[in-house]
Amino acid sequence: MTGAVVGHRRADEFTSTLLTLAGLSAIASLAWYHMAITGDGFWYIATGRLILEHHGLPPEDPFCFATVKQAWTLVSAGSQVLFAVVADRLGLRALMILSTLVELLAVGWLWLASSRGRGFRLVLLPLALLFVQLDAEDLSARGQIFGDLGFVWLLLAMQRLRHGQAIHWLQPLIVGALWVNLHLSFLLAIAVPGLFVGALLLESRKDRPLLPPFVRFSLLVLAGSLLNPYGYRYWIHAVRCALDPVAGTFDLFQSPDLQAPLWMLAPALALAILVARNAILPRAGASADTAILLVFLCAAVCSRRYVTQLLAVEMLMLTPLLKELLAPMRLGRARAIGIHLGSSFLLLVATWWGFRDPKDPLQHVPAQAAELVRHQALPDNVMNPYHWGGYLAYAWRGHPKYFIDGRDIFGLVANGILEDSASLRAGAPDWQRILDAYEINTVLWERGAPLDYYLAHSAAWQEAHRDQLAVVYVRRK
Amino acid sequence: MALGCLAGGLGVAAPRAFTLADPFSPFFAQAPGEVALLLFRVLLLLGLVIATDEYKSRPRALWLGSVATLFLASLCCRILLWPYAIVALLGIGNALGRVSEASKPPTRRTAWLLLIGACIAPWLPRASRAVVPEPVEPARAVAYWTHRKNPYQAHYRALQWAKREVVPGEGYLALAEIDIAMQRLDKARKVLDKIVTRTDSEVSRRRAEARLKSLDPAKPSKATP
Repeated sequence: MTGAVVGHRRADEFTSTLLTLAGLSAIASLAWYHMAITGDGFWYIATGRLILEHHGLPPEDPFCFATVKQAWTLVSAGSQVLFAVVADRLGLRALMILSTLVELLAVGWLWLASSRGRGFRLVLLPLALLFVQLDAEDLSARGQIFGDLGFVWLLLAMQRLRHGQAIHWLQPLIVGALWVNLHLSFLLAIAVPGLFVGALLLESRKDRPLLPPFVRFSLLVLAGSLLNPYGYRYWIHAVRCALDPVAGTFDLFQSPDLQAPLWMLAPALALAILVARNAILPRAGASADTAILLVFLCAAVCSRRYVTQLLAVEMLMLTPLLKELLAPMRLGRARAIGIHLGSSFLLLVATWWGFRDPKDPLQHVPAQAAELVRHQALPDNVMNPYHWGGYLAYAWRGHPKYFIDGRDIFGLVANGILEDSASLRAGAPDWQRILDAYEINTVLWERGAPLDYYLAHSAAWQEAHRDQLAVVYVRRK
Repeated sequence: MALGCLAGGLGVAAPRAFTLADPFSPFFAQAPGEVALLLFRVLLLLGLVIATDEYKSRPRALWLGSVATLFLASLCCRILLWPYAIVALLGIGNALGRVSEASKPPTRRTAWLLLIGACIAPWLPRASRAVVPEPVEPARAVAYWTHRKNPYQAHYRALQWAKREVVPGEGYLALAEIDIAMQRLDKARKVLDKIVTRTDSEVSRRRAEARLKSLDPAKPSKATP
């Protein structure tokens, strides 16, 4: 082997490694830039603390005064304990770092697995960054990050089975046991293999892999998922959460804004892949790919939560298309190295920019207002917005109790308080009736919201605190 | 055949497809009937994919590309569902008309099935959670909130009911029961004492006395001589 060839190979390896590292750091920095701890993350910590204190499931809800006390089903108990341990021993920023690393693992793994080859890595990196960007509104320290990681593992497992490669039976069993305790999305690991079986049945027998491994995979995940505090009853609760129309009232489970370019990218790419798959590549496997794409496309346009999952499916389907499309292209070595070095440099600059923000874990929660209410022992009952309840569970530890949070929207808040909270948030004209019904004497609310205006102009209420984020009012005697 | 597909598809789908409240808004799955219309779009697209199975690469790419673009556009702007449906139906009709006699029957059959399914899809009922509205009648409103395990709303309804009573009666009794359920025994006793001292209904008085005794058998009520 001549020195020139060795030199070229080393240069290729260097640029490849540099691009990989730069890409991963860019993904990490974008995830860190958007990372936060919102209300959900705080009730994860608060609930985890309770589990550790009780050495088991708490018997009833100790945080809220208006919920259905004995109806609490703890979801993602494993995540909650983990978050409580990390937050209490290492701090809230450590929790944000952990969450960023988990997101990096999910997206980075997807990117590297779907881009075999240096050229593909650069082409698919924007999609990996898009994955994080689409998650931006919801990226926070909560169980969903484990759901993203689990889904990437699931897709790669399905790809292996589709290529006739074996998966050790312990893998789905163990991952099922872990996933069920980390996030409710474990149901995907049971349902998606069924989707693949249905899609592959559209292919002729000679063009499709063996189907029993998919069924076996699903059953093993199902068996593993029995290892949770509630046993099979947790399945019922999870299915209920997935199908109940109440979920459709939450932002995350509503259709994305399909007139915004960012949200249209994934559906547009799905349709482009569908056309290319059916028109360019050999027909074998095209029907199954079409069916899988359409199912995820429908899920994505119906619910924002599934847009990133559609993108993950697309990234894996793009590899054979890219091989077909990029094969005729031949870049000179010098130009290719130049492009990769230039891209790596830009990515490192973007990485530095993303990590500049020191991040305040309490940036999105009413820390000052909550401290005032507790410290001055303002009269209960306390009314709060839904998305701040988790922080109040964390900060107050049950003393005082507050109105509502997002721990269990099907059991705890199924008695109408969810609707009343939504009415107050929307500025309903019967706000005083709702406050009277729940015997509210202190309101901790969002500054500038309609309720802030009503209370400020009501003789029955006195303002006790106002800061950048929140206001506190106390009922006059 | 193409015209037949077009007429049939539009004719069956028309009543649902043309009641768009805001035709220039994007697709929103949570609006009534939208999921069925999404299914309609998907079935048409699938029908075209299957019907054009025997096309050569370039014409197939052109047909699928055009229809897919309109599919996407109809998600951005719902009024574009019309042109999407027209082009897709024309494409399917044209493809089925061109399918050779030697082609596999299942392909044609599948395409027809998907086309029929697309016509039926807009008629599918939407899943919804039936929320029973709160009754207007006070006793039923209290029972409604009690059943929903919301003692605060039940208490509020009972309080409004009691305030409307000229003399303490059923409303006061309901209020006392809710106070007991909320472990506010002192308040419950006050309410029951009011019933005992002020009501003109013998039935209500007896019930209040019995309830007071059950709260604290050793403690006599105010009305006991």
